[in-house]
Amino acid sequence: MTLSFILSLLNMTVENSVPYLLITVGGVFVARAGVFNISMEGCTELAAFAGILFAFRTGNIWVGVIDAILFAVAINCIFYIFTVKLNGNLSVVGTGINLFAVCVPASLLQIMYGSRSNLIATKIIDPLKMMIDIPILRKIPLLNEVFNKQTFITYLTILIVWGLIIVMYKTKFGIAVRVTGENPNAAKSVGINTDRIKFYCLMISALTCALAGINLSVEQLGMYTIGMSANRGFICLSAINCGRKEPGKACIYALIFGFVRALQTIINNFVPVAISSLLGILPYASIIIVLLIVEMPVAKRNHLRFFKGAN
Amino acid sequence: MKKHGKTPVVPKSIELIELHRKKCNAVWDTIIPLFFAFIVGSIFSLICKCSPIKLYSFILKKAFMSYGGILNTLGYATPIIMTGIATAFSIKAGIWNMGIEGQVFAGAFVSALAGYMIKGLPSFLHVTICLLIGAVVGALYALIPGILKAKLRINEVVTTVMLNSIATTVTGFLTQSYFGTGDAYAHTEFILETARLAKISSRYRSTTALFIAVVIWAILFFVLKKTKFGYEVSCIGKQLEFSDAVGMHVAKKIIIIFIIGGAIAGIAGTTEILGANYNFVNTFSANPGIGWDGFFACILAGSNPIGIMIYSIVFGALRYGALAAQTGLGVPLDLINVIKSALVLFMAIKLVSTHGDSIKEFFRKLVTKKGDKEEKEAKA
Repeated sequence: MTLSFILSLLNMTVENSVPYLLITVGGVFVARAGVFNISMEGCTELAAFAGILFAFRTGNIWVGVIDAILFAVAINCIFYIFTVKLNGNLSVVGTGINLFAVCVPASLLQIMYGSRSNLIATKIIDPLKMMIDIPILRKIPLLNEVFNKQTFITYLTILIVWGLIIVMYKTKFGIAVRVTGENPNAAKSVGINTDRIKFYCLMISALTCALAGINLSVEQLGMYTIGMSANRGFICLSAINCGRKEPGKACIYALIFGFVRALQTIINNFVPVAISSLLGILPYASIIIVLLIVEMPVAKRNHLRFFKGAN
Repeated sequence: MKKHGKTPVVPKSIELIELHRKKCNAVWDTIIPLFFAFIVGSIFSLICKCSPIKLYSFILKKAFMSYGGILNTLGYATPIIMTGIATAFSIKAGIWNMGIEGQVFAGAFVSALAGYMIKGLPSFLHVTICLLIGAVVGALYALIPGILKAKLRINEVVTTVMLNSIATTVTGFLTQSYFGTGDAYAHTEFILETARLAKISSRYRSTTALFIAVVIWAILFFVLKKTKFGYEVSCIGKQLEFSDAVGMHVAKKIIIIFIIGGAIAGIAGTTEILGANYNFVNTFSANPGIGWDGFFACILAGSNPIGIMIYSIVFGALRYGALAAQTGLGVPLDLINVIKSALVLFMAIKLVSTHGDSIKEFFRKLVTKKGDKEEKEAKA
């Protein structure tokens, strides 16, 4: 009983961590390049919507996937042009994009299908078929329960996280990204095109956000509901902050947040219906608590009195 | 993009010309985003199979062309004025307080409870108590990100957004379970007659809350522009470390700024309950929420109080117009938000005042290149 409980919890953790991990690991690049990007939320939301919408319209999942990626790239191109090229305020542009990403799906859904809240595409996409049964994992008792029968993007995520950490620390591009964020002038003086580096970072973030959106809507549920990304962009932003903009650490925090969400889903089964809606605050409250725990020890160093701290 | 007004200006010195130019740039900076935003809106309204001219004229007609329309517009604008000016305080100080929406929810919920639980008071006292309770609850709720920001320097964007979600979830839960009435849709009990704000005209949305909003707006306008505290707020926004070094007690000021924002947000939520809704429903400030509308109004106006007033009324008109257009023309409500988001995006870049010169240069080069080519062709 307890073992199966723990195993199902871990299984849910893996499933729920995927979008967090993807958004975080892409967002780390953007954050490292010195761009405070709060539009990841909108990017994920729009990708989730585009994936379902185009898959539903054409009857082909791959069309949805490609369109989701295109939408995410387009959104981040807009962000790039408005902030890096035209010097707009990062937070203003970010909130603008987030609003755009919430209201465009709503208005399009209302026009096309009459209901502004959701689009169910389970006719075309069967979420059960999305799970991949890996023969090697099937034979290993504990790992089978946790890691087998996950979606394709789950396995891809492991590769992506691993690959992007290597890119960050072992390649020339990674060094350029880190220099760009820490000291743009120094980066310029050694001939790094900082704007271009920021553009590449935003594109990486667009790809990972798109994959996260696809994972949320197409793979896990086969349907889209308004507000599907549920502040995941902001949660990942705090994961990045907690991890001090280092991809490995940030991903660990992303896993913690994924675990809390899994915990919420699991506990839901054991408590009365009335309280289960209160459990919705668990992911959000946990972030504030984690932020508090992480920032408390360094509070003195971070204190506003810069002049005292410098000496 | 230098453009002189109708009255000829006699330039006395270079500074005057500069000043004039800056003013003109500011005017162009508001007009050009409007233009772009309405183009984006037109594209989407064409997607929605509705002629954009028809849509815009319908909204204008509904919102401004009749006595009732104006009253409804003002009714929708009332909370936005308050949330807008509440946001202005924090934005001026360089704090991105996005938690106004959550504070609105907290204030509205508790004052809705106070509206029917406190009994046997005269109307004036009851309304005042409800407003005070709303303000206190909003301020307390804003204290959480305030302390986190001031003492621990935790990024306020993340915490406030999280607290928004927590506020909506918890109030939704409480209306469903403990304070609900057991009806099919979750709502609290209706507030007593004594707690209700008087309507200006019985059929329309506008209430005496409008006067409360204007008074709050005027007080904060005065505080921002004319007092030492207002000056310190804008100093903190411009140079945080320097303000702290000269002894402005930045940490304390940040908490005060959050408290003021939260209190006004709480009042905004309360007036919405006491004046328009009469009970707490979890969707009372949907699409995208009066807190967010105030936030956008503040951003668009560059946290200038007069601009906030104008944009609040425009947003009120859009809100009412969108509701009318949904029933009248069958256009989705969210179409208006598309226009709003485009407005925010284009307003963010201040095209003329920051890029006017480079754009001019670009066009000049384009023209000269063409001229060169023509000359060469003529020579050949």
